[in-house]
Amino acid sequence: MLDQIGLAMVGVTYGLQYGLLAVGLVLVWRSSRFVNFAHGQMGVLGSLVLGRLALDAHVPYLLAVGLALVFGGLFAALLELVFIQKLFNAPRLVLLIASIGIAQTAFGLGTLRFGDSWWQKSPFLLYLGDRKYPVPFHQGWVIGKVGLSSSQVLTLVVAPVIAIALQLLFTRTELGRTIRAASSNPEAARLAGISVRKTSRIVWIIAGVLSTLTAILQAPGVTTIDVSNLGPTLFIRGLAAALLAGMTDFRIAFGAGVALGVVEQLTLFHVSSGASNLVVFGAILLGIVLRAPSLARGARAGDDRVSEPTSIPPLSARLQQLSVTRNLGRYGWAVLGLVLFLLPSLPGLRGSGQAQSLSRIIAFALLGLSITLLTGWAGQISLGHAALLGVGAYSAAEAVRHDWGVPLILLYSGVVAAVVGMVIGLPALRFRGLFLAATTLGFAVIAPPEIFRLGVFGEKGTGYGVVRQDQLWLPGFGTIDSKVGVYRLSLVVLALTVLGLSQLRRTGPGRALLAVRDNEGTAAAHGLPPLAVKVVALALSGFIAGVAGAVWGMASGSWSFEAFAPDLSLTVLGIAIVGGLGSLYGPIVGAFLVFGGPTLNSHLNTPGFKAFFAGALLLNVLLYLPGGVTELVQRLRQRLLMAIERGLPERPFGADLQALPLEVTDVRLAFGGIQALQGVSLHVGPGEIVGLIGGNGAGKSTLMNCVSGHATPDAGTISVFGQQVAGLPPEFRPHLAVARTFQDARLYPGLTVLETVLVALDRTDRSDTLSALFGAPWIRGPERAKRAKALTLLDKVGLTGREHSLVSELSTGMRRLLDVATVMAGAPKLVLLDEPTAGIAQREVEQFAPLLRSLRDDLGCAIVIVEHDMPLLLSLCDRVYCLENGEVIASGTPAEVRADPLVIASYLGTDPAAVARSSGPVLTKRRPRKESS
Amino acid sequence: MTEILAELSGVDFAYGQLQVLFGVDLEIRTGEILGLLGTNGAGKSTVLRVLSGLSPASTGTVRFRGADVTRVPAEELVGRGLVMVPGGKAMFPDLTVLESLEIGGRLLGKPVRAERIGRELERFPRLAERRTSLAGSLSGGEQQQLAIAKALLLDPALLCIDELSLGLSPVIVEGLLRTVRDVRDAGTTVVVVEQSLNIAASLCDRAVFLEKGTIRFEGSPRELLERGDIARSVFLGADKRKAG
Repeated sequence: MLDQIGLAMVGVTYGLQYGLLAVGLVLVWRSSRFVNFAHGQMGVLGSLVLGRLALDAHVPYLLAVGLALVFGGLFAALLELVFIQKLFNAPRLVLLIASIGIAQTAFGLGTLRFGDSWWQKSPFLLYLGDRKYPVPFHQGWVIGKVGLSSSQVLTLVVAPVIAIALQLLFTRTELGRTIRAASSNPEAARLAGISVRKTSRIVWIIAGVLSTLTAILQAPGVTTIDVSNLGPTLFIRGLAAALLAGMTDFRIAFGAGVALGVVEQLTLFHVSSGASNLVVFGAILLGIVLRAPSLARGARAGDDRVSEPTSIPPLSARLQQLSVTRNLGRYGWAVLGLVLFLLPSLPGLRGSGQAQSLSRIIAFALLGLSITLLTGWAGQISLGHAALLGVGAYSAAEAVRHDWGVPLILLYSGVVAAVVGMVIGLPALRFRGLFLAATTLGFAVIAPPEIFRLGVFGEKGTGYGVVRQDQLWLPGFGTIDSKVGVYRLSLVVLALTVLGLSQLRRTGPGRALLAVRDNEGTAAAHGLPPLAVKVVALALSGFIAGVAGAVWGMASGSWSFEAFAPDLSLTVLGIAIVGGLGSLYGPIVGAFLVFGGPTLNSHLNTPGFKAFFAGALLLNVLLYLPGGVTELVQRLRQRLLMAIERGLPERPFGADLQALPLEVTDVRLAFGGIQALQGVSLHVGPGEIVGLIGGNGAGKSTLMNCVSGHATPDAGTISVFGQQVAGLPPEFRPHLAVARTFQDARLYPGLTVLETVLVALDRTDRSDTLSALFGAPWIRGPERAKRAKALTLLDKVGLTGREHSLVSELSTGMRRLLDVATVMAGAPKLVLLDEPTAGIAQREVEQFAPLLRSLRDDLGCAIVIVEHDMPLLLSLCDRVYCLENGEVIASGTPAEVRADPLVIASYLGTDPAAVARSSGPVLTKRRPRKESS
Repeated sequence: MTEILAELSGVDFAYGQLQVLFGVDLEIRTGEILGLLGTNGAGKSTVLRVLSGLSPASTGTVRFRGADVTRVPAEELVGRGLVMVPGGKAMFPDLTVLESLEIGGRLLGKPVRAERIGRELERFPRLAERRTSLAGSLSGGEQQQLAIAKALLLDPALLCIDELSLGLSPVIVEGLLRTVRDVRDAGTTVVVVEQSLNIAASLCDRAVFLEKGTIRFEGSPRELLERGDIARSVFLGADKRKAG
C-alpha cells in the first residue's frame, strides 16, 4: 500500500508540473485566445540563466532564482511586444504558429554552443552541458520502496504554493479582476477604462514568470538538462489538462494536471508505458469532446487562416500577346524542375550521401504539399504530420518485404497513412476550431515510442525500419540501383503529386475544400457536407504524407523510430508556412529553405541549430511576409512582368515609319440610330498638317476617337504607320508614336506644370519606384536630365516662369499650351489635336500656329487637327477635309476647300446639297450648328 | 444659447468594405436626453461607437468638451467623462456583480468608489441582492441594470446607452426610464439608441432619425411621431425584427 502511495506521490510531482503548464496555457488563452506552444520553452531560457548563475557565477540560489524570474518575465514581455502586439488582430492561427516558431527558436537558443572549450566561458550562451542542475536543498523522501529526489520534494512544496498564489492573485486583487474583465469582455473592459493591450502585456509577464518557475522545477528531474523535455512531450500533457478545464478554469486545469500525472504513473507501473501514453491521448480526446462545443462558439470567422488570400493580377493587354508572359507559370515550373533535376550533378552535391539528403528534402517537400492541402486549402491544422511520415515509411518497409515494387509500395504507404490520418482526425474534425492540432500533436508524441517502436507498422519489436535498395524495382524498368536513382524517382513522385493537386484545386473537390474552409454554413446549404469534406481533405493529406514517408524511407534505407520525433512535425509545418500555404511550388522551395542548409552542411546539422533556424525563419515569414514564398514569387513575377512591359520595343506591332502616318478607309460608326460616320476615307502624309472641319455633329471628334482608340468603328480600316489599329485600346497608341490632346485639356489639376511634363516624360523613361524612394544615386543623373528636358519643352511652348504653378491655376490657354508640351514629351510621329484653341483668347490663338508648325518641324511629325477657328486652320494646314453628316464632302488645300460650293453651303446654311441628299439617310437628331469663326 | 457637449462632423465610417455612416453631423447639447432612432442597420449603434472611441471614424471629426477626440481610444475617453453602455454585451460574464462594479469604478479612488457602489446598489436594490452572483447568470433586466450602474459610478458628463429597452419587460423599462431621467436631472447628458418610437417620445428631449447611415430628421420626438413616413419605417423595422 505504501508503495502505491509512493508511486502516486511520484505521479503527483509530474502532475504538478503538468498542472502548472496547464495553468500557463489557460492564462494566455484567456488573454490572447490561442494555445501558446511556446509556454514551456519560454521559461527554459530563464531556468538556464539560473543554472549559469548558480553554477558558474556562484550566485546564491534564491537570488539566482529571483534574477531568473526577472529574466523570464522580461523575455515574455519582449515576445509580447514583438509578436502579440504586432499580431494583435491577426487570425489566431497565425499566433498559434508564431508560438511554435518562438518555441523552436527558444529551444535553439537554449542548446546553441560553438565548440566545447568555448561555451563555459561565454556569459551569453545558456547551454549548461551535462552538469547537475542546482537545487536549494538535498533532501529526498522515501515512501515504501519508492524514493523521491530532492527536486521532486521541491516540486511538491513549491508547485501548490505557486498555484494558490496565482489563484489568489486572480480572485482577490484589483490586477486579477482587471485581467479577468479584459479577457471576459474586451470591449466592455475598454469602456471601463481598461487598456486591453496593457493588460495583455501584464498577463504575458506573469506567464513568463510562471513558465520560468515551471522550468526550474522541471529541470533537475533529469541529470542532463534536456530542454526538449519541455517540448511536445510535456506540452501535450499540459494541453490535455488545459483542455479538460475548457481553457478557462485555473483550478480545474491544475487539478486535471495532477490527476493526469497520478493516473499516468500508476498505469505506467502497473500496465505498460503504451497504456500510460494512451491515457494522455485519451485525456486530450476527452477534453475535446467535453469542451470543444463551448470553445468552438468563441471561434471567429477567419481565425483559421494564415494570410489573406490574394488573386494574381491579370496580364495587361500587351503582355497577353506575348507567349512568354502568358506561359510564365509553365516556364517557372520548367526552371524549378530543371534545377531539381540537375541538383545531384552540381559540385558539392555529388555523391550518394548528398543524393540521399536531397531525396529526403523532396520527401519533406511532399509533406509540405500535404500540409498545404490540409491547412491552406481545407483550413485545418495538423501538428502530427511527421508521425504520418513515419507511418508511410514503416508501411513502405513492410511493403518492401513483400517485394511489391515501387508503385505498390507508394500506394500502400499512402493508403495506410490516409486511414490513420482519418482515424486520428475524426474526433476533432467534428468541431469548428483548431482541435485537430491537439489530437494530431498527441499522435505525434505517442506514435514514435509506442506505435513505431512496438512495431504496429513493420517489423515487430525493434523500432527499426529497413528498405533495401535492391528491392526497389519499377515494372518495365528494373531495379533502381543508386541513390541518385531514388532521387530521380522522388522527383517523379513530386511531379505527379503537383499535377494531381493542381488538377484537384481546379475541379469540384478542390473548390469544396475551400468553400467549407471559408463558410461551413453556406457550403452546407449548397449541399457540401462539411464533416465529409474535411475528412476527405484529411484522407488526401494523409495519403500524400504516406507517399512522402515511403519516399523518405526509400531514401534513408534504414532508420530508428526516433527519426520521427514530435519536434519534426512542428518543423514541417514551418515548411508549409514558409512556402505560403497557397501555391504548389511554395512547399518545395520551403523544404529547401528549412532543411537545405542543415541537411547539406554537416556543421549546421545539430538539433539546436536546426530548431533555431527553422523557428527564426518561420517567425520572420509570419511577421514580414505572411504569404511566404508564394507571396515573394508573386511579387517577383509582377516586377518581372513590369520589366518586360517596359522593355518591349516602342512599336511592337511592326509600325513602319516609311508608311503613311494615317490612312482611314471607309470607316463607319453608328451610335444607336445615329450614323456618326458613314464611310469616311482620308489619309495623312509624313510631316503633313491636316485639318478636319465641319459643323457640330459632323463626325470630326468621333473620327478622332476612332483613330486614338477611344471609339471602335463598326466597319472600315484605320492604319497608323502601316499597322491596323481599329479596335485596339488607346494604351497601344503611344507605342505607335501617336499622341493626342483632348478638348477639355484637364490634365492633372493637382500637379505643377513641371510635374505634369515630367509625368509625360516618365512614360518613355521610367525610374523604378524603390530606387526613387531611397534617392538612389544612379537615378539622380537621369532625374536631373529629365528635369532639364521638361524645362526645355516648357520654354518651347512659352510657359517658362510658370513651372511651379498648379495646373488648376492656369488659364485655359496656358493649359492647352501645357498639353502641347506633354504631347511633345513623347516625341510622337502622329499628333491628334482636338480643338486646341476652343475657349481661349484670340491673343493666345495667335501663338498657336507658329507653335504647331515648329512642333511639326522639330519632331518631324504629322498633325491632324480638329478646329473651328477657320483663319487658324487655313494659315496652318497643308490640306483640309470637310466633314458633314459623317461624310467627307470636300478635301484639298485650304484655298480649294474654302472655295468648294458644298463647304460654303454647309457653313453658310444655304443648302443646295440638302435637296440633293434628301433621298439619302436622314439623321434623326442633329444639334444646331455653331460657328466660332 | 445651449452649450454643445459633443459633436460629430462629417463622419464617415466603414467596417472594411462596408460603409455604414455617410457624412453624419450631430450635436449633443449639454443637459439633454438625445434619442438616436432608425431602422435596423441604419447606423445608430455605429454613431455611438464612433463617439465613444470604440471604432474611430474613417473620416470626419469627433469633438467632446471642445477637444478633438476623433482618435482618442475608448479607454481614455472614459476618464474624460464619456461613458458608454454597449447594447446587449455590456457585462463581464465571469465576474460577480460586485466585481463588475469594482471594475466599472476602477478609475475612482477607493473611498469614493465604495461610496458610489453603495449609491448604485441603493438605486438598484435587485443588484444588491445578487451582489455575489456571476454577471453571466443574471437576467436580461438585471444585466442592463448592472451595465447602467457600472456606467453611473463614474458620474459621467455624457452617458451613451445603446439599446436601452431591447428585450426587456415593460416594468423594467419603466424603471430604467426613471433612472435615465434622474441622471439627466442630476446633470448628466444622455444619448440613447432606441428602437421603440414611443419610448423615445416619452424619454427624449430631442430625436435624431437615421436611415442608411445618414441623418434624415432632427427635431422634437413629437414631430417625429407625426411624420408618418418615418414612423412607418421604424415600425416596419420593428416588425421585421420580431419576424426574424
